[in-house]
Amino acid sequence: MKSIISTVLGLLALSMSVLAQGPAAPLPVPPLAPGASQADVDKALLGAPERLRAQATVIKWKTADWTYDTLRQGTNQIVCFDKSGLPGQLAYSLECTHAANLPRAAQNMKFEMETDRAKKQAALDAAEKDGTRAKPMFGSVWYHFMGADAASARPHMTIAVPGATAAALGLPDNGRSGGVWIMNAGTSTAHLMTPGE
Amino acid sequence: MKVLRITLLAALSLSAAQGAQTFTGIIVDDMCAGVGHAPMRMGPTDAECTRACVLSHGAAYVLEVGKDIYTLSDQTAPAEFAAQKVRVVGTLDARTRTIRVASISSATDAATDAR
Repeated sequence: MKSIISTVLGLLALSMSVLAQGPAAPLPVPPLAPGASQADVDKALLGAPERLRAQATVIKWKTADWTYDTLRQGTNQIVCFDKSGLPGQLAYSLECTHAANLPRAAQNMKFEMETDRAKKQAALDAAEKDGTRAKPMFGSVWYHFMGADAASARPHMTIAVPGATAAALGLPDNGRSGGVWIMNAGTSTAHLMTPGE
Repeated sequence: MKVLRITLLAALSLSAAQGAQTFTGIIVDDMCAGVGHAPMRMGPTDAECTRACVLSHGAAYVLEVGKDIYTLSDQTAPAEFAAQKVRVVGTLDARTRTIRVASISSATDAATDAR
């Protein structure tokens, strides 16, 4: 009898100590790269959903050649950057996406440098045709937060499904149904659009 | 006092008029500025597509002038000019790149895109 009581008390003590630990402690925030500005990092991170911000990587584009400096190396797969005022962008424009999409993001901005709309579209079409258009990762998410300023900025989220067609995904390739649909179906730009997102 | 008031009003209206600029560009939506809308299939034409982006996906009308994108204070008048070349008269807030719109008119015959 004494041993049963001891065993029960031992199990109770063990379960209480497990419960007392509570939720896991958050991961430490990644440090800034030397010379990086906390304000720049904080601003870029506003482009990501709140739960992804703490461990996201932040970069800053170099407009001379569209390479980038890393302001903070994160631990998750999301990378954020500030595109405010860059060619083709609003005064306040933040973007976050999967790190695998950086070549695509850089290429997008190179195309934005062309001021002539028809020439730009022709260049995009040519790159699509000759296979030089960088493809985003299938299923990766692009998060945008943009507007005239921070106060008026609105989020916009798309999911990249390069090459996807209506037949392949069973989703419409136009927005008339009012549900999720594939924009630019069949191209490297194909992405899922969600009404209101 | 009346003279002072008139003088102040005149000065204010003069400064407002001096701040007004004319911008010539294309009315697009801010989600898809800078690219053709035809492949997006939001509508049968670029204009329908632009309007659908605004109505169905919460985009805003903006003015594209070359590489520059300007937010427009008036989000009603641009609808009829979607995907068209227009002449916008208004004052520019350089910080937010927002044009406080005084008027929008068609500029399909305009010679250049230059401001």
